[in-house]
Amino acid sequence: MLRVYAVLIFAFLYVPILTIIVFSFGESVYPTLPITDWTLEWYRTALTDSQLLEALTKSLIIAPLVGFISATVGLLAARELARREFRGKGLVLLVLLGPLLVPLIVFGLGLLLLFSSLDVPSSIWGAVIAHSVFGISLSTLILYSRLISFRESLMESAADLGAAPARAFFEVMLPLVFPAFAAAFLLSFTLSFDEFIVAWFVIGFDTTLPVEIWGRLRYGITPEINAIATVVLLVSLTLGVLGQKLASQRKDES
Amino acid sequence: MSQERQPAGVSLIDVTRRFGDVEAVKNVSFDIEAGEFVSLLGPSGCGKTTTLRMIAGFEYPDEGDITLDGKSIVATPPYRRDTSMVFQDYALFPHRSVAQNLAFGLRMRKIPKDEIRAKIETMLELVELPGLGDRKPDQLSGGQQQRVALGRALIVDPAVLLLDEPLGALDLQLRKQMQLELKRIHREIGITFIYVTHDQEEAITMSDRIAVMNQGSVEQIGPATEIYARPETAFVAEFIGDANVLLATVVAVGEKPTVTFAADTLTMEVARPARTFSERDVVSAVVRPENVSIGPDADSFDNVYDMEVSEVIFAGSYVRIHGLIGGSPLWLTTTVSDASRSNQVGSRVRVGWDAGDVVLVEWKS
Repeated sequence: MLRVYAVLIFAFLYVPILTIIVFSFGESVYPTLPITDWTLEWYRTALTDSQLLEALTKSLIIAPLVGFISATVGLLAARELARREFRGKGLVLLVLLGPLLVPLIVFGLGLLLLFSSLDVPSSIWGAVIAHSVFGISLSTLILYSRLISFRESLMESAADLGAAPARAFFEVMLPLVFPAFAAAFLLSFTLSFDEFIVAWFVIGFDTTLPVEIWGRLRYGITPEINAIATVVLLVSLTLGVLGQKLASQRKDES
Repeated sequence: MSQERQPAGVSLIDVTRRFGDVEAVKNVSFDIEAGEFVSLLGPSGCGKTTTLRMIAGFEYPDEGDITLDGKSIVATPPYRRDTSMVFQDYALFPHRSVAQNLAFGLRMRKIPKDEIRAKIETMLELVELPGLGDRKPDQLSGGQQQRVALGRALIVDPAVLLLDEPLGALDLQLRKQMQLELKRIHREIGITFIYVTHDQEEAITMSDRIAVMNQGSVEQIGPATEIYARPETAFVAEFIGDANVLLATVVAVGEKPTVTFAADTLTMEVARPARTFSERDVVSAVVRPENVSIGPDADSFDNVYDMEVSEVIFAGSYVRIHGLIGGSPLWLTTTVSDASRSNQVGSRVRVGWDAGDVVLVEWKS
């Protein structure tokens, strides 16, 4: 009985995703079942579509930047939060979670208003800033849970042995928290890579891949969108799983 | 090659450190000679670790000054201080091998690679871990990790070695062995050791001098024998060794100082106190249990009383006898053969001690 439930639940979770993947390999222009002929044609089409590639490039510029900014700022913030005890710390952690809980449409609208009132021209930098807001939230929480078990005596002994603060950071702290740092990078990367709503609000005439896909959907679903969506899915899934794995790595090793 | 390190003296001058409203260290002053082995001894929360951490540079004094070799180090960050610390949790870098842990301080000092390699070999010999350089810290036993931590602190030739309860995590057997080893290493290198512990036996075994700390203050500093024989406060008397601390009132001063105790029902002659008391002062009279004689021999001492035995406890190499004199509790230790001669619970025996074995200190409030 339990087995039946499990199958049903996984079907519920993954059939929509599998549908896209399956149709991306179907010969027919219209999504119809059963699929009679299989092809890789749509992948070829998608990967030679200069507009799609341009959007992909934008996404691949934005996402690593977001990942790096988020993980770095997150590490610095988490370090201070983890080693200090102060009143209202619980509240600060809760407030940090905020950007992850606010409806994206509200956040995107707010950011659009803010940017236009400050005359920030829309560009990929808007998207970098917007996505970093979530990324920093997420990264701080991931790194905080790692740093809370980090022994301060390690940094003290590094200092005691003659390492100035920056040296101690690169020699001792960074290597030890690197898995969590990488997880923060990868999850922020993924977050940015497939985020649509906020990007749509702030990016103006440039388009990221999700914005481009949405734009094309208005003229109907084409198989090459299925193909590109499958690629996006694989990238996100791989990085996401890798990030999760790193984030949940043994935390007691230092 | 590197120059031989000269040991350096350490002085604390009116040092105070507060955490919020709490004064963790209150107005502490002492001088440690170059090459000396000094223990900071006291119960948890007495400020001994904070004091050590101020010398290392991880805490700063709110008031007062700390000098190394006569020069103030308060403004010097820990990474430029000529002190080295052995941490309570060892703080070995888990991602580095034993050899890399040992090399760390030398690399920070930009010492050439081949010299580092040679120093590591020498240090592994000194701390008796030859051949273990390639291990990771988590592949070592607690005792071995302890030795690596010690080696890592010593390899940089510090002027002062600071040790924060370094043996606390080891079992008794290993602790005794490491105590001897630390003494040997101190003798061999001759630098200043400052050792924090709450274990009086450890402090007595190893130190040239002990600073007994309580509630943020140094109550007494001196060689173990002196602290034991001449405690200056009731706290010190009870913390170092065992003691009967009797509430007493001074009734005579001068050539033959005398006090009354047991609710003024008994009198006792005491040694000339180190500090002056006046008649009618309420004081603590400290009598060490091993200085109390029992049985017929007791009559030859300055102070002789009848004791009612309430408890006889066999404790291996000696026997503890508890009882009441004039309603006031007293305990003493004696040899097994002496104890067997008399002393049933409920019996009355003679006990006695010399005036010279009684130390008067201020009454602990």
